[in-house]
Amino acid sequence: MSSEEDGKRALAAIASAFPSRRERLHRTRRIYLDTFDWRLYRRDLRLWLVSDNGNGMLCLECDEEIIKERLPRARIPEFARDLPDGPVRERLASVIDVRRLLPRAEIEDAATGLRILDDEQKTVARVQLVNTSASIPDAEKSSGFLDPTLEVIPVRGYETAIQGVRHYLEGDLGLAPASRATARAALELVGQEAGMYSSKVELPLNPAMTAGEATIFICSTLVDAMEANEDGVRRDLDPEFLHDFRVAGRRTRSALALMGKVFDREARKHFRREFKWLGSVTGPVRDLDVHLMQMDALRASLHEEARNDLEPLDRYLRRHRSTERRRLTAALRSKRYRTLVREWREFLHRSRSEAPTSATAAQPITEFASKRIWRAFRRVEKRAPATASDTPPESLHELRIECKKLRYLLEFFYSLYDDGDIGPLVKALKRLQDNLGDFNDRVVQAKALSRMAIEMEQEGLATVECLLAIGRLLEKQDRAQRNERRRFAKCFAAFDDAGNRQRFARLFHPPAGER
Amino acid sequence: MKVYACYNIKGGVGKTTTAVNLAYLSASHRLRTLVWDLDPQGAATYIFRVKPKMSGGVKRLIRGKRDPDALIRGTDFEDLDLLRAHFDYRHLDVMLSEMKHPDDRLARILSELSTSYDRVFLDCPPGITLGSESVFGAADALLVPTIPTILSLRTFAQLLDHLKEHGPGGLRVLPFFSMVDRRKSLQRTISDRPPNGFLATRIPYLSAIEQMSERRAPLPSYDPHGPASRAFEELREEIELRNAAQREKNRG
Repeated sequence: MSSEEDGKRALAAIASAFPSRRERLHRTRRIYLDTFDWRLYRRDLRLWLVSDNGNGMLCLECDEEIIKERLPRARIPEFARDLPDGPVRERLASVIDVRRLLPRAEIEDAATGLRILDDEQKTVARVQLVNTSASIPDAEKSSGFLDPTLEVIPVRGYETAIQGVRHYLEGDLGLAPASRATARAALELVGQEAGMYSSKVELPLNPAMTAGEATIFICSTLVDAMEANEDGVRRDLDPEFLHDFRVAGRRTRSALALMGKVFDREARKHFRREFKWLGSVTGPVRDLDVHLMQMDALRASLHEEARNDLEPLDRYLRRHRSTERRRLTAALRSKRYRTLVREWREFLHRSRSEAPTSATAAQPITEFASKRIWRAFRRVEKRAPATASDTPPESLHELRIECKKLRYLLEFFYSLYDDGDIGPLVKALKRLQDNLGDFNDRVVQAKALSRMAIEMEQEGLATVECLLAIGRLLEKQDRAQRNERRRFAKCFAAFDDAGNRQRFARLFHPPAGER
Repeated sequence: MKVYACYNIKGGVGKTTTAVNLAYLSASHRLRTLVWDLDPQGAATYIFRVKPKMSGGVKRLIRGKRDPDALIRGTDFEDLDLLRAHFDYRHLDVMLSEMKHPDDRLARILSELSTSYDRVFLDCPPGITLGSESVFGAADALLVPTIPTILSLRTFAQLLDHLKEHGPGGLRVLPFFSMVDRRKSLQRTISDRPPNGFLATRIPYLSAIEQMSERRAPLPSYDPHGPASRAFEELREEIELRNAAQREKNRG
């Protein structure tokens, strides 16, 4: 239907053709909720907060089914823990994880209409003219209106009654009844493309690119990802913003280290230093976030009666986090940060339009990529002695770094290779990294716990119970650490087996004749 | 799903108005609510302007051979449905007496609806019969509207005695004063000092409540702020609170 006038005329016509009563204007507001990285949308889940006369209701649409749940207050749930105990939370908790639910679009339906009555004056069907407007919460963009829809709504047990109304609408008035605007239509209207941001950075490279072009493309994509997360970091919406922000920065540093030869030496040195600085000013908050996220697991590993003993540690972490947060936001406001982003973007822009400055930059990307990956793989292999059970944690740490570099390279250049070839290699490497990461986390956590215990004592936060609990945790960590260590040799052997070695060689280091 | 049975051995104490108004208020708080009109006189069905069914089908429903879904009608109000009255409910006792386990027949039918509704209100006919035994077996709580008179309290005591001996375990009994006429001194005296276990909310005797059958709609739907509507909302909140308290207790 094209205009509200048409709708009103149709309502008037139905009112004269059927025994009916007018209904008052009824407004309902629907807020479409999703995480910043569209975790629900990607899994084909749609979560709505419907408010109607001060009542709040959560509607989760999934697999053709709608789960409805009342909210005690019409307050927007921010985290999974704010969802009421029940099926919606059950379904979503693991999907949302630590992310915050954000209002992604707001839809208001203003419905006027008729109730169609039988001879007992009982409502047997409803006809509603619905005007829908949509907007993005917090955005300055003004809202838009969808074409009004005319809905015919059946009443349970009186389904036959709507047939008459439908028939009249379609036959006599030549109108097609419709149903309410979908989330997608509403999001399109406000111009927000659902599913646009993903925390997994996609890098579709073109094999015809030169190494210089590809590196510039990768770096530009990474700085976009950084900036996309900046607002969430500033507003401290959830820990993943900072994490993704830091990952993008770290990848940029790696790109500069591993592929930087495509740029001139001075620029490379300068930006590496600046991104390193950015990593160091954002690190403390991330470390504290990780500790805070581990608190539940730490509590759960203690005896039931000792679970509250860790509260001083929780207080310590929160106190320090708020101090570190102030430092972090100051850094993001600083001239140094703003200059870094601006100059980096300008530099990438300039490099794009200039002719390649070095022979490296002019190389075809496929050749360049294979060479880098092969070299990184060889370096991981060289660290193999570190697998012996008596090597100090430091050498394992170095191996972890080499694995990380290899992983970044595989991810940067993933799109240049066949998914079936490179996919299994990334998976095998990931398994090894998970093991190394777990081991490293334990070492780091044990060190941090010891350090924090001392600081808590100095700050007067420590209680005897808390220190005892930390002592017990350290013992557990030590045992777990040794277990991970034992598993490690096996994990490494599984990664560096003949099959994988062959695959790496075939893909990235073919015999000279085939290159 | 919580099942509340509006029940009293005596008739004319406000069972139907309680069931209809509480159900309406539940639905207006966005709880998916069903009223099951078990009274062959069909007063609740009449108030919702639904035509009662005159013949056929009840026996198969009670036997569990007919999907209750097909008998449910939407009311004029969102989230509020009705399992309408049937003239054959007058034979409910006879039908039940012919079956095995008559006291869990209604519970079985309701279990089929447990994912569709949050609250069910049973509007029960008076008397202690095989039908009411089946109601006791299906309900989480009995809501017993009681007029504050000596005879009514005596009947209520009889009900408690009966339940003690024959009732199912876990059935909560929630009596409250209904049709309280403050002009009568005896009623005033009794309702001001309610016996143990009575809910604090009292439903006053008001002509507005009687007019429901003329308006053919739940009272709060056309007089949401009147004293009677407020009393029913208070009653609903008190019942839900008890309900939540019980849940806590069960959990602890």
